[in-house]
Parts: sequence; C-alpha cells; structure tokens
Amino acid sequence: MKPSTYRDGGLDEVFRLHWAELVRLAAFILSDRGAAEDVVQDVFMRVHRRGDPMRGDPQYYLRAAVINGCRTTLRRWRLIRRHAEQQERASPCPPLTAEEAAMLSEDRRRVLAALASLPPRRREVLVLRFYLELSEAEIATTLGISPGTVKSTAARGLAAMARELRETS
Amino acid sequence: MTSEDDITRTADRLSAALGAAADLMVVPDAPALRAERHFKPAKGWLLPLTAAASVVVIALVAVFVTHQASPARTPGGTQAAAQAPLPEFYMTASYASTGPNDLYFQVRRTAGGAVTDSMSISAAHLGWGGYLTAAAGDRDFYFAHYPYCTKAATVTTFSRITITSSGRISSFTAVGRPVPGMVTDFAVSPDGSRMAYNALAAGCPSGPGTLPAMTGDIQIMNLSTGATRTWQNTAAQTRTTAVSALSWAADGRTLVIDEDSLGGGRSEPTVYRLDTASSGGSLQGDSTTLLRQNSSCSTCVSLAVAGPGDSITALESQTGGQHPRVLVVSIPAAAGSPRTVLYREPDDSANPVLTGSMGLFADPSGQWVMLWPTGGVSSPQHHPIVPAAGWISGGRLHSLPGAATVFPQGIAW
Repeated sequence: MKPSTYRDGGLDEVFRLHWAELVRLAAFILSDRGAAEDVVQDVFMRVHRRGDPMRGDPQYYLRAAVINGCRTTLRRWRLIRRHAEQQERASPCPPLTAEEAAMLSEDRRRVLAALASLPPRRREVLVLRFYLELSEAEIATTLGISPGTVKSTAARGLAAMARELRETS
Repeated sequence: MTSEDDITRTADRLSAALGAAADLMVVPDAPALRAERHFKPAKGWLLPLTAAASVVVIALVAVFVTHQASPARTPGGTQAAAQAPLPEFYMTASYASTGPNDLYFQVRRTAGGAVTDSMSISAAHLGWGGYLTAAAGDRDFYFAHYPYCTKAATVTTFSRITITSSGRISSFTAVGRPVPGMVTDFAVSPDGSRMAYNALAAGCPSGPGTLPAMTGDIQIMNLSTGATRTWQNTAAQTRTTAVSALSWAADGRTLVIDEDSLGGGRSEPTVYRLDTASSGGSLQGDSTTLLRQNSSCSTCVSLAVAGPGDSITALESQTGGQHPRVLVVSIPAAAGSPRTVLYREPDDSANPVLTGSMGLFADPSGQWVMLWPTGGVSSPQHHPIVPAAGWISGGRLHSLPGAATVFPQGIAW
C-alpha cells in the first residue's frame, strides 16, 4: 500500500490512493467484485459522513473497516443464501471475470479457487499475508487478534489449501 | 499429512496467484466520494467574482511554479528541469546460485526495500555487467544478454521486463533485433523507442588475457523497426578505446558516451555528448567533448553519465588520504561553470568504498543517482561495503534497505 497522505491531502486523496487496492482486498475475501466495490465505498462514505474517525495510520483503519464490511456481507449472504446462487453465476476463478481468468495459468486458477473455498477468517489472514504482504504483527493489529492466532490460522489455511490442491491435481 | 515443503510451496503459489490476479483485475475508477454532499446553490453575482479570483490565483501559481523551476534551482543543469519524482522501484539482476548462465531479477521498492516481485531466466548472461537500464516512468526495464562465454561467436539479444504500479512483473518480452557479437554497454532512450549500444564484433575471448577487437563505435537501433545507425569512432584508429558507459540525456536526443582509452598505466577517459539527430557518421564529428582527462589526475573520473539538463554526473576518486575517497559531482556542459559536489564519502567512513568497483546509476531524468558496488564484488568478504550503496540527495547517501542481500550484476531505476 502506498504511503498514506490522509493528513496532507484529505479524505479524497486517501480514497483515490487506496480505492483499487482495498477493492482487490475485499474481492479476494468475498470472491465477488461488485460486492467488494460496495463494501469499500460504504466504508469511505461512512468515514465521510462522520467526519474524521480515523486515528493514527488510516491504512490500518481502512483495512480493518473493509474486512469488517466483508464479514457483514458474508453474514448477510449466509442468511439469505445468496452466496451459493452467486457462486453458480460467477467465474470459475473468483473474483476474476471469465475473461480475466482465461489469462491466468491453470495452476493459478486452482490456487485461487482453493483460497475461495476456505472459511472467511483463514481467507482474510492469507490475503493480508500474501496479497498485502503484511507481517504477522500487522495482520494481528488489523484483525484485532493475537500474533499467535495469525500464525496458526495462516498455517491451517495453507495446509487446507495444500490438501485441496493435492486432491484436485 | 501435509509436509513443511507442501506448506512452503503452497505459500509461494498463493503469493504468485494473488499477485497475478490483482494485476489482471480491472477495478473501475473510484466513484465520486462527494456525491452525497449538499451544496447551497451559488448566487448569480458570485460567478464573475469567482472567475476573476480564479484568474488571479492561476497567475500567482504560474509565477510560483516558474520561480521554483528556474535554472538557478537546478544544480548542474543550464536548462530548467522540473523535479522528477524519486523512482518508486528499482530492479536488480544477479546470477542465480545455479551458475552464471541463469539470471535472477528482483523488483524492489526504493522506500523500504521490499521485494515486490522476482523472476529468473535460463541460458542468459549479462556479460561484462551493468547492462540493465530503465525507460522513463519507472515501469519498463531492459537488459542485454547472451549465453555464457562458450568461445564461439555470440549473438546478444535484448529483452524488456515491464512492471505494474504495484511492482509486479507483468511481462517479459524480446525487443529490437539480435546483434552479432557481445554488447559491452547499452542504454534505452527515456521514451523506450531507441537503444544505443557498443558491441565487440567477435565472440567471447579466446583465452585468458585476450579480448576481441574493440571499435568504440556507437550504434543506435530503432526498437520498433530494428533499423540501426552507426557512428564510427575515428579515435579508435590510433588508440585502443572501450566504451565504459552510455546514457541518454532526458531530452531523448543527446547520448552521453564515457569512453576509456586503454594502454599501459591508468586509463584516460573522454566524455562525449553525441547529437543523435543525424543519420550516423563520425562520433567525433557529431559530438562535443565534455571532459578529457589524462593519467596524471589527482581527482580522477572513473565513470560519467548524463545528468539533469545538459550536465553530466561523474563518479570520481580523490587520492591523498589513507585510501581514495569517492566523490559524486555534477559537471555543467558550459566550460568554466562551477561543479557541484553531490556526495563526498565521509573521511571517517568505517567501511571505505572500493572506488574502482563502484557503479553510478542515474534514472532517465538524470536527477536521481544511485551508487552501488558492481563488477568484481561477488564474494562474501565484500559484504561490509554494501551498506555504502544507496541513492544520493542533499549531500547524503540514503541506503537502500535489503541491499545487503543482493550483489547485482545489473541495477536500474
């Protein structure tokens, strides 16, 4: 993530700088691009309406807010069983469109599919670790859990993915 | 049961898949954040007043910007040049542990030094080192390569590595036309359309201590068409010359050539400024000589590259103390204009820099330069000098995090 310029450039600048990366973060967790954009926009609109709730580094606040937004969305999907219907309509390699997925190698498509099959918490940890390249300590701060939990969740997530990839190979 | 190897391999695959997917994922532009904000309708009489105020503000901003970019504020340059941003990424090329025929590239962030991506290619060798260069915009990197010396005639090919705004490698493609022989130095123009190079006509040296014939000629290839123009080095008819460095000025037309005349004792560098607008001809005829130095120098230029405007930036070694000190200076093109010292190695440096094995790498604007140990520095005992690598600004060497883990054969930003 680029250095934040929230203090210098205001919310507009933070929004412009981080929009795409936060959308990708949400898309990897939700496996749904449209919903990811909704979540990120909701986060920014909430910040915008409330004025200035961000304290310290806005990157941590925004990542945490986006992940919370993703959780809310996943809960809503579970309640109304929309997620399953969406998965049927979606690309074979969420969150990419079918055209984008076609440009990805078979191996990478399988890896993304294995990631999408993980429980949300494991997916969050792995995306923060391997997409945003955050350290265990940073992930712990973002998710509000202990570094030890980050480590064990990541290990279980990777082990589950390894098994899944072995079975589908 | 999942083994440790499985986990590690899965982590690597996941990292690569997420990076590739993120690069492919097209995210629409951020929507208007202020869509919900309510504004009171402006009153009609405010419009002309607002317009007049805008004109005054624009005029003031123009005056301010002109003042900020005036030549007096551009050290070393006689032409006004806007401050180019510090390159966000740099690329290193080194030999993989499997041997000198495998090249390993890393993309790193200038701030923080994090590796954002890497790749390796087989059956490729950077030759005499340092043949990695970048076009303006900090996204396209080029390198020249050929199979490791086989004592047979070789062909040098050129490739481009493109990175995304997040530092991921998005493409690796061949560019231009292969060149017979060994390219000893090359540079791609800031707009990425042309490549200047010097090549040895023969193949690899036929044995220890022997070198193919050097010509000192300069070729410029159009990377779209492969058409090549040649400037012959007439001085090479009377003495042995070798091109030490090629670099393009930010204007994309001027090529700075740092040439060494070889012979017994110390080398004698000459720095030319070649106007590449013509269709080719004589290097000396189409160039102005910016610098010529004989072997009795006390502060000796070891390398010179294009600087901002029409200046050059030179790496010098100053003798006189316990060991030679490194100086990086900006030398204006106009004769008699004062030089500016951009960096001087501290006298009390705990880890003196080995001047002879240092490289100077400028970005395409010529405004940012990097100092880095290059050829000959490949063994672990040289580790202590690596922290001296970094980029120069405000008289200081800003070290590049992560430098200690890389001994690049090539580096560019």
